[in-house]
Amino acid sequence: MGDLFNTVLYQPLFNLLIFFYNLIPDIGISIILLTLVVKAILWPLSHKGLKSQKALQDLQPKMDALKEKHKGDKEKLGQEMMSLYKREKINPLSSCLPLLIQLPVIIAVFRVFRVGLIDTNFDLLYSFVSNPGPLNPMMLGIIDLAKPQIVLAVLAGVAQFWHSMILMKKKKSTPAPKTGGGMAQTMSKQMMYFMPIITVFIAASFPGGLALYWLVMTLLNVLDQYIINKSIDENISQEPPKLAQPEIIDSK
Amino acid sequence: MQRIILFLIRLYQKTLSPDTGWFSFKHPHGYCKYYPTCSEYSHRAIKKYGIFKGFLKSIWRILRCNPFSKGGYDPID
Repeated sequence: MGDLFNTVLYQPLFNLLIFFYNLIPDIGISIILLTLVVKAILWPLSHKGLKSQKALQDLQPKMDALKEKHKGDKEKLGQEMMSLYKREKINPLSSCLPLLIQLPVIIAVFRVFRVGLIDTNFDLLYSFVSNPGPLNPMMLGIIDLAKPQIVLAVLAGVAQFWHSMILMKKKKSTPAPKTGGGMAQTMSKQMMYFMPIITVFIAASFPGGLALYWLVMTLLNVLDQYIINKSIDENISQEPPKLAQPEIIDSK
Repeated sequence: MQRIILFLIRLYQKTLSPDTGWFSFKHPHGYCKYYPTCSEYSHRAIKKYGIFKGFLKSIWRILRCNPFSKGGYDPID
């Protein structure tokens, strides 16, 4: 199992990093490039639901009606929701398998930046990737990415908070659908403030390369979210005014 | 053993789950495309059929919960 993980995930990512390093001998730039590649691979998985967002907005009245009708009967409500999606031929929701697949990818990326930067084992290089010799861990000649970097860690935390803010704002502008218990909701809201702090602490205790990866990845997620929000807003404003729900337009 | 696994599933649902846990603010409409969700399905399956058969049913469910499937109402029995 560990061997399989190494061959399928760790080794390709590590080789790609060294490949970029051979092209541009700056480990910081190489990490940024590798992050872009990882994001590009994971992108389709996270983007599946985008198209149906619009359809979901239109369905909102029907969903609210169902919610009112089956108040207090979660089982029935879930069943009715699903058959509503089926009738309208959409399913706006994500799926669990990609979530499980992403997990090992993320672990491999972490290992590449954690282990790969410090004691580089060039035995794992493919034959067509040349050995660059000892890696220079300095980014732009000033930031040592092999050592913990507090500034990068804090920036990663700030970026994460920014991302949550955007998500929250979007949630407010789309009519809140989930009836979810008050407890879970409070928890969820606290997490929004709590997660960035955890991020800072974790990132500060690992090599700076990991913090850099985290920062870049989060910024890409923010960008991604902006694009999604924008396309949703455009879709909505194209609707005839009587169908558009005014609060959605007003809020942005 | 069975009770431990059932507990772990509940723990997952209250914490890491994108559908019902801490991160549910990211997915206001829910996450899993099935009802009951994969974790709830697994919980019921293991409770009803025991660890072995319940686990297999859970795996099969998670495999079906992919971007190419339709999702929908999929109760345990």
